[in-house]
This record gives sequence, C-alpha cells and structure tokens, in this order.
Amino acid sequence: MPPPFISLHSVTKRFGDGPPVLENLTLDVAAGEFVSLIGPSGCGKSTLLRLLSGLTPASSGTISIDTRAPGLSDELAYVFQDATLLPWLNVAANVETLLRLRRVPSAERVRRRDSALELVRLTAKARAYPRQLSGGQKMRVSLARALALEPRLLLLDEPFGALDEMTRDHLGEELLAIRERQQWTALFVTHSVAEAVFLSSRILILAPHPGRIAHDFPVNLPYPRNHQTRRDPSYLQLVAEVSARLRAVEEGDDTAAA
Amino acid sequence: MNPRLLRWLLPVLLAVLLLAGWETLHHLLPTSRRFLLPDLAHLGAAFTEHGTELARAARYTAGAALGGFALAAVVSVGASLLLASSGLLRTTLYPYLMLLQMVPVIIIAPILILWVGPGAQSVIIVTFLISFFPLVVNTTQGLLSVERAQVDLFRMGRASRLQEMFLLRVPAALPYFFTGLRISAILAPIGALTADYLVGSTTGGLSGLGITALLFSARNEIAALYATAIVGCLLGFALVAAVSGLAWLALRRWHDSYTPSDQ
Repeated sequence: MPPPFISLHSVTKRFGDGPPVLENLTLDVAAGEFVSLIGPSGCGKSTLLRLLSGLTPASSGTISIDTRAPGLSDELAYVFQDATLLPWLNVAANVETLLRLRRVPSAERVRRRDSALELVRLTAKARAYPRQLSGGQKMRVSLARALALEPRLLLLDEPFGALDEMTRDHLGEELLAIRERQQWTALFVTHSVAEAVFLSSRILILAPHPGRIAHDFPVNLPYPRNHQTRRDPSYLQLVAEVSARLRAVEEGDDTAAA
Repeated sequence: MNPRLLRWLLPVLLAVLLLAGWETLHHLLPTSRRFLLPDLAHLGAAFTEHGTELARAARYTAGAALGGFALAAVVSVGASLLLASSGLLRTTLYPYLMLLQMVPVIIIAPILILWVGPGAQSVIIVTFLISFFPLVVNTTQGLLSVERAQVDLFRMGRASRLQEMFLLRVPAALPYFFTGLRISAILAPIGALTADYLVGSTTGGLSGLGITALLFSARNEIAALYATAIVGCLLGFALVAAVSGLAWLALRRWHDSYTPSDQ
C-alpha cells in the first residue's frame, strides 16, 4: 500500500505554556480526498490547517505531506476566510502575487494566471481592482490565486464563511466543478454541516478542550455533485446525522450515537 | 442645483463674505485704530507697492520650504523602513526622533547660526526638522499596519523579508505616507518662514518672507505685513495642492478614500 498523502501521528500543539489546542491527533488522508473539518470553536480546526501549512510547528508528534515535512512542499495552497487580496493590485496581479514571490518566470506566470482566472470564470474582470468586486467575486479571485500555484493540497479555512447562503452554495458548486478538472486533495474548515456534506468525501468532527477527532465519517454520495444533490434523500439524511453528532459534541458528549 | 457647481460656489461665496466682513470691521473700528486692520484697497496697494520684494522673498522661501520638505520626505522614508524592520531599533531610536521635534527651534537657531551660519542652509535644516516628525511617524505606522492575514499569506508564500517589505508593507503604507506628507506640506512653508526669521540671512536679495516680515514690522507697514501673511498662506496651499495631486495619482485606483461616488 502506498503511504498516505497526508499523515499526522500523535500530533499535539500548544501555544506557549497554554493548554493543548490539539492533543494526540493521528490522521491519514489519501490523495484526492476532500476532507471537511467541523466542530465547535476552540476545537483547533484552523490550527490544524496552520500546522499543515508549515506556518507554525507542532509541539510534538510528526506531520508529513507526501512524505515530506510541512513547509517544504511547494505544492500547497491556502485560502483564508477573508479574500486577503492586495487592494492596490488589480485582479490579474493579485492572482500572480504568490507566483511572483516564488519567482516563476513571466510567461509561465501569465499562463497560470489566465488559466486560474478562467477556472473561476473571472477572465473579464482581470483588470478590475478588488474594491470593484462583490464579496463572492473577491473570494473567487482568492481561490484563483491559490489554484495558480497548481497545488496538490488545498487548505481552505472557512473560505465561504463571510458570504451569503446563495453565493456560498454557488461557490461550493464551482469548487467541485474545478475539482472535476484538477487533481488536488482538500482540507476544508467550515461551520456549515450542509456545506461539509455537499463538498466532502469525508467529514471529521472535532471536539474541543483539547482539540481531537471525535468522529470520522465517509460521505458516500457520488461525484459529480450539483444542486440536485441537495435534494437527494441520502444527502439530507447525512446532514441530519452529522448535525446530531455535532450537537452531541457541542454538548460535551463525543461518543453519543446519532 | 448642480452639486459640482455648488462645490465651487460655496467656498467662493464664503471668501466674498469674509472679505466683506473684513471691510465692515475696518469701518467699525474707531478712526485712530483703523490702521490695525487695513481696508481692502490699502491691502491691494501693499501688493502692488511691495510686489517685486514679496515675489523675490516668496521665491526664496518657497525654495527653502521645498528643499526642507523634500529632504524630510526622503530621510523619513529611509528612517521608516529601518524602524519598521526591527522592533529593537524602534524602541531604541524612537525617543531620539521625538527629541528632534521637542527641542524648540528658538534654541536650535543660535546653535545653527554658529555651526553653519545664517542663510539658506540653516533655513532648510530648520524646515527639515519641523516637517520630518509627522512623516516618519505616519510612514512607520503605515509599514506596521498591515493586515495579519496578508502577512500570513506572504509568509506561507515563503516571501523573503525584502519581498514582504517592498511588495506588501510599502504599498500598504502609501496612504499613511501621504497623510504625513500632507501635514508636512502645511508645516514646511510656515517652518521655512519662521526659520528665515530666526536663522535667515539679511543680505539683500537673499532673504525670505520671514526677514521681509521683520522689515515691514520694523517700518510699521501693517498692510504689507498682512500681504506677507497672505503670500505665506498661498505657498502652503500650493504645496498642499501638489501633495494632494500626487496622492490622487498614487491612490485613486484602489484606496477607499478615493471611492467614486457612484459605487
């Protein structure tokens, strides 16, 4: 059997002398999985993404991405809750920002920028400035900036959390449509059970104090999924089931069955 | 009414009202005190009578103001980059930067006269000292006021320190820099005028508005003094307008303070 794409073994993270934010976390993710992380605040979902990004080191335990330590992989992209676009750059230049930091040659940069903009259907807005865009469009630019890195791992930290429900649903569908055309593994932090079920091939419910995995659910709905999926009885049943488990975790009882 | 027209009309209307008020006030004063507030006709006469003198002094003061201002702009950018790149440097140097602003010009003036002598150089140095502080404070603040998530974005992109400074912090600081520049643009002409008064050269043709004001005051030419004040204000307005134009060029496309009204 090939080694898992992402592997965490007994990972604990604490900040300074504080209590552990994540404790003794062990997790394997295969290439191509779309994993949602859901749980009450304080369960360390965002911290887990930051550990994988290499932005902050684990206090103990081992983490590997494609058999290498995090922070060394060039093939990882991060999408923040805010679009974090640079307001002084137009859309095209924003999409190129990370490629520029990596000193990708100009012709290659332009090719990747154009194809990323095409993926998020914003080619027409290439010359617009962020302030001229709606919240949903800004998030799509942010997604294009990540996709331009041609990542093998996409870390998404509540990327659609600040958007209204309609926009959020549309962007979810677009994200899955892009995934049909590309090969990446995704870790997706969200507060929305419906969003998690709709997007993921697997859902992890995390429990807080200290952060740990309480439940690990496969989502056996076939891809490609679209707005029809949201009316599928097995989709609705899964949403109900995950919601019940999440509520149990929030009430402090992680082992209760649905 | 057309709002664009109103925007021009209202300040003009206010100017007319102020001038009328001035003239009325002049006539309300007892005859023996009217010289304190010369009427508009005398004020106009002062401009024609001392026109060449005022123009030459204004050119000199404008040059000194621009020199000190430009020096302050360049030095403050360099200093801000240093201050923003190290917390240790910041805590070490900050008190001394404040010192620059705190030592009164009246005390610096005689020392400067001893060190570099009276004249343009000393005037420029004093102008620099007066306009430097708001620039360095604002620019440093701007370089440090980058959103945390944007810094994270750069760190995850494994940006070098130079990339983080020049591709992220410097553009983000531009609005702050221009705020500082605008304050300094108001201070610089006043600074140059005061400096001329304190450390200027009295050699004919080489003196600015400060010395000119000193001479008018000694000769009791009240109308000419008012005219000097107006010329000084015009210099300030010109510099502020130039800075506002630069800020518009640099920020209009992206900064919220230039958001078009139809958005």
